[in-house]
Amino acid sequence: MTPIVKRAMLRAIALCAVLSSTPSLAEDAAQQVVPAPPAGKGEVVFFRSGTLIGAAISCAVHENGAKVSSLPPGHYFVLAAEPGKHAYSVKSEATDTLNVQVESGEVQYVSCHVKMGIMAGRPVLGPASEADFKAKSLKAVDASKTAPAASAPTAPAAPVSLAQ
Amino acid sequence: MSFYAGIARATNAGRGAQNCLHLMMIAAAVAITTSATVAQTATSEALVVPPPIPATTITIPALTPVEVEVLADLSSRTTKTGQIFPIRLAQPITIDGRVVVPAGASGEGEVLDARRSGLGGASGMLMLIAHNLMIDGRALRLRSMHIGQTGEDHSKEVAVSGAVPIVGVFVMFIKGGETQVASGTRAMAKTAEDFVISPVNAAAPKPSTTEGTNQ
Repeated sequence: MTPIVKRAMLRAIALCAVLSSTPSLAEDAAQQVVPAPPAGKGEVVFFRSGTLIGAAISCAVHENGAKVSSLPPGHYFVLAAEPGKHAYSVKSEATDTLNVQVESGEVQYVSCHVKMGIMAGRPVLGPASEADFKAKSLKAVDASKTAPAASAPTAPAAPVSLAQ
Repeated sequence: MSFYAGIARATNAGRGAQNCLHLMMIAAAVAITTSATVAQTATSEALVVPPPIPATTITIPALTPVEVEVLADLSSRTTKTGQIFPIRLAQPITIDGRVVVPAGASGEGEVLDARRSGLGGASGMLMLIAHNLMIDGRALRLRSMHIGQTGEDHSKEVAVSGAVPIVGVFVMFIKGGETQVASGTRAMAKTAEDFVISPVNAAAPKPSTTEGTNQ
């Protein structure tokens, strides 16, 4: 067997090994399940693409000074929250805060991406769409890295009656 | 006393009796007439009782879609988070084909978040929400109208629809740099709760119109 053939076979074997260990996009999309919001609450889906750019920068989400969840590259988490205004923030050399108006029965999407900073990259939160979320191959954040309690609003909404 | 005097006395007495009798007859007649009148009045009053008043309110159910119009020029460069801006009902609210709230009702919205474009390619961002519309001096609370504008050129994020999606963020006006929302921009929202309105202020049934454009 010539060296060229050997190299080709080794590359083919390596490629097969990589492909077999990587879940398919369809499987990933199926894993990106967003449950319906609990009764009387809304949901915010935080997600982060798996790009290597800024991967070392943390996108851990905070609210009212408390950590809500970690958000590693290529992951997402679903946060159930009370209706009203919420202020979510991410920190590095600077803090970026995004206000979100949570409505009962609704799901909103927020993405975290890393911008260029002075000394290091800066995480930034921004509104996103469901299409953005579905377009990416993401995994759910491990439950151990997510705070169990839903966040209370900084400005609670007035009682809402929903017509069924 | 003479006979004639006696007769005169008797005559006078008779006249007096006659007068008394007359008076009694008149009194009786008056009494009868009065009672008849009272009875007639009572009967008339009984006949004039107004019919029962039917229900006079209409309820605008929660989550009713409404189209509103922003009445201020907003820019991520100059607008501040928390800034209040005026809005107006752009299309009438109809229930069963009947206009219950005509277009033009005023209200207010709020800048939920505003972010200027910055260093490193950071885009300008503008997020707006609607608070309420004033109907008959009362506030009709609104929800689910978020106008989220980002300055980055993410064409795939554009999702403008006439229907109200389950996602509360509208991403519109995608362009580089600062983000602007011009006065006259329309957006969809929903009523936040049941709202009772008097049909006295409701107009006669009109054919629904679906004009209006979302910019």
